[in-house]
Amino acid sequence: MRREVRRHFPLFSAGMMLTLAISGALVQAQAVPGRSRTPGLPLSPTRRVDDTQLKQVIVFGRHSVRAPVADNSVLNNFSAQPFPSFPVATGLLTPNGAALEKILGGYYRLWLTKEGLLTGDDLSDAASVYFRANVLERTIVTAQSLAAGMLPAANINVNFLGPQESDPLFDPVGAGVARLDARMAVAAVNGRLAGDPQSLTSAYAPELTLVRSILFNYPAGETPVPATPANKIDVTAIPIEVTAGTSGAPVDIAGLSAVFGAIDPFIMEYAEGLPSAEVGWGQLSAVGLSQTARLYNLGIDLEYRTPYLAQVQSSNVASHIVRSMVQAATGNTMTGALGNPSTKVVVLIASDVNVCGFAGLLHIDWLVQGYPPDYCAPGGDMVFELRQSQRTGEYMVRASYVVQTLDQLHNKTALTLAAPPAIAPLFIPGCSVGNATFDCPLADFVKVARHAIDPLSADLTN
Amino acid sequence: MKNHVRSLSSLSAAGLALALIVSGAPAQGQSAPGTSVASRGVAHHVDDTKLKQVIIFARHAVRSPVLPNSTLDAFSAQPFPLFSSSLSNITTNGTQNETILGGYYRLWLTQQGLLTGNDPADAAFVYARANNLPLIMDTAQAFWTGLLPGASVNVNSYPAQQNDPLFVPINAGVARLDMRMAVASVMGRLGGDPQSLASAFAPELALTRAILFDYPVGQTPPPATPDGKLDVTALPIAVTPGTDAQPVNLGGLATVIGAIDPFVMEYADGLPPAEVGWGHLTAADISQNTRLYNLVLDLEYRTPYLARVQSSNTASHIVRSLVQAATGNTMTGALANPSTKVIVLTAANTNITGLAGLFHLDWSLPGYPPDTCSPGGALVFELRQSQSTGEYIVRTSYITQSMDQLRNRTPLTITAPPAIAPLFVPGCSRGNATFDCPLEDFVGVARHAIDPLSADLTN
Repeated sequence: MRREVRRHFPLFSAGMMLTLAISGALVQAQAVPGRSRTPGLPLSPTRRVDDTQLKQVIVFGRHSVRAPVADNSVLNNFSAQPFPSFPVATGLLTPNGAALEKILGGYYRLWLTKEGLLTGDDLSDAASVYFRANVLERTIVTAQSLAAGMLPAANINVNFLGPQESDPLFDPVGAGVARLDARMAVAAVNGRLAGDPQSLTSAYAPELTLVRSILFNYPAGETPVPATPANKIDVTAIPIEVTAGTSGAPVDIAGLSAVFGAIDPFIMEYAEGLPSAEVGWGQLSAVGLSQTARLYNLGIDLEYRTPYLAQVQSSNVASHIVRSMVQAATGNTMTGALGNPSTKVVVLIASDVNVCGFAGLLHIDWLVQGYPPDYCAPGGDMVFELRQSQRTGEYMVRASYVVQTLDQLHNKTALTLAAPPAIAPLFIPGCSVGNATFDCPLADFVKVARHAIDPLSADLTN
Repeated sequence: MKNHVRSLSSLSAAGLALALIVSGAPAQGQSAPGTSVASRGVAHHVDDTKLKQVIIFARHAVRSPVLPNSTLDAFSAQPFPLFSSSLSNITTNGTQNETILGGYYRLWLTQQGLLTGNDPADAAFVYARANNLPLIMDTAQAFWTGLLPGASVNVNSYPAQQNDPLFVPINAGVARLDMRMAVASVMGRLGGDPQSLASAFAPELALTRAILFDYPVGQTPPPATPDGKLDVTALPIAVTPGTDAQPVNLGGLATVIGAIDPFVMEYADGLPPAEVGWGHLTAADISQNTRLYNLVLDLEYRTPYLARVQSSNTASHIVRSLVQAATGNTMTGALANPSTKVIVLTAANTNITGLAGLFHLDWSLPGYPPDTCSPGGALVFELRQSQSTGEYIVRTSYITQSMDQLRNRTPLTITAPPAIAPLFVPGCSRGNATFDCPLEDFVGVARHAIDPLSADLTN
């Protein structure tokens, strides 16, 4: 208990430092007359004219389409028919994934050029970007592909650590920056499940039933339910329990993790553009695909959005994102920020666990047609725009979730400003105002982050 | 924005006040030896705590549907069944179930030493409050009949035309809802496109339509809407400013909720199988259907901005009542008095959902989808004191009869209890099996969660 209390104090001092550093921006905003608004009155009509200019953008995304993370020799134990082949080995980005990410990068190029953040002169723009990827091949190649689409004439350096290292931004527990209390981790998850994780099998019975029917190749709802084929494992029948995790996951959700492994290929089969007969062996509709993805999301929710786990695992990336924005707004180099004060585009590429965890830390939700709520899809990005009002000088953060739809992925659809990816504007609780883009004053964003971030789970490395 | 900033600074002022007032209690805990980090792992395996106060924040019992059958029947191929009551009133079985549940709490609280068996004497140490709808006041009466059968407990409620600030703080003028923020905070969880819910919840809407129009789910092509009927699952979903009754209007989804609201009640009230979804709804289907109901509750009451506006006042009163009992000193904004041992607040699922959302509490129990606020279900806050250190802790759980316990009016005992979900309170709970949360940390979490401009200091 005493340790818990101690953890709370540094939070405030770190926050104060942030506020201090940002005070230049605040003073600037407050000094301009006509900014204040009487509480209770509707926002003035002038607010509807967006007089803000984009000063910096931070893109925090998941890698694009990859081969399944489990090998077919393992997966085939879970299914009546063999899983389809992907063109690359386990867990690697597919060539289509790279092409898709380049398409997405091309969209960002169009958008950021229109916003005046990119100039069309790639070589000079390259000096104002910072790319960072987690140590995995799929995240590195995704970042390189995004760069190739965004700044095709430049050779962008993607920063990443060695394959055996843990990047503190994306794996802070592995890197020793954050410490996970295994007992708290189990309690935090069990305490969302009435201490009885097995009850998930009834709560998610329709999804588990659907998954079983796809894996064992019979119509969903067939009665009596066919027996498990000889020599196969029914992943939907493995007891679910929450125990201390491994380096790969903060808690071990036995049973459910086997289900994740078995369904992980489905979205990728569709997004990769495999023939219909190879998407859930021809039995998975778009609705069915989305419904099975709920189980995947359940795992992500429990492991990465559970408040204690989000705080431990996502504080460091949150801290770096917020500090990078403050650094850009103040123009002063700041500890714990990325790039430098003149960096205009920051791109961080990691995994769904990172993106979803960060969203959970700030209690951010979204919904995009075709995906379940809060789904972190291949190539999907949380995008944070640092914008400045041209009239008042005020800095604000505008957040969105940008993602190719499943069909845009499946069809490798070209993206333009007129035919963009799906864009979900995000309301940041405790910060966003009530306008259509849910703008969040930077000073308030710092406060929200200050409360959300555990400073003992973050470092001040630049 | 200025409004927002001001509300944040008053928040910390109120928080400080709370922390100041509560400081007596933690000091007691800290002055005692044995609370150090080193000892906590092993020491906590033995539960040396004693229950000092319990606050039960409960939903009403099984009721008849909210909409009249004359309205409901426009949504379904066959007429909806009749209940033993009409129009959102408690049913005969609902009354009985609530007394059974009250009886369980009697056994538990007697075992815990909070009740003595002498009901008239115990009645001096209880506080009952119910929102002023007949359904809810009747629920409270039935519950107290089970809890203290030998006493006549006065259930406090506001006169019929008034708004209880504890349960409807906006209408009571204690909290102010900014309509534009309300809409934005919900839209901003839905990508600005609420209609996407129709695809995200397609399986549940398909199931609902199949039940309402009486065909096997999955039948292709789906049959046309019967003549003269309204397909509630096809109504456009939107988010617009709400009414007195709900913070935002969800368009077609609100109508879907009206149409499916009877199903859980049909099952829980023990209607014959042929009258539960016209004989088509299994218990598993009801659970799946209830996801739509929970979706609406989530959007309207768990959305962070809405939870803050709507549930801060209840949260404030609950926390202050716990502090009052721990310190033994009368406190502004608390309920009853320092010697009150049992507080029962009876309201609706919107209230329970909102308070749980404000504290980011989740649960999952067999037969219900996650975070369901079932009939009679309650958030239970136990104020407990360590006998070795004097430290006060809060132990939180969600307690509810299972769907089958409701349906069968199953007797409840200590050995055959209702479903009990121990709750982890984020930012506060420890890693032990009951997720104990030190009172001072609970105050800290509440301080951040509560918007003092949405709470009053009335006792």
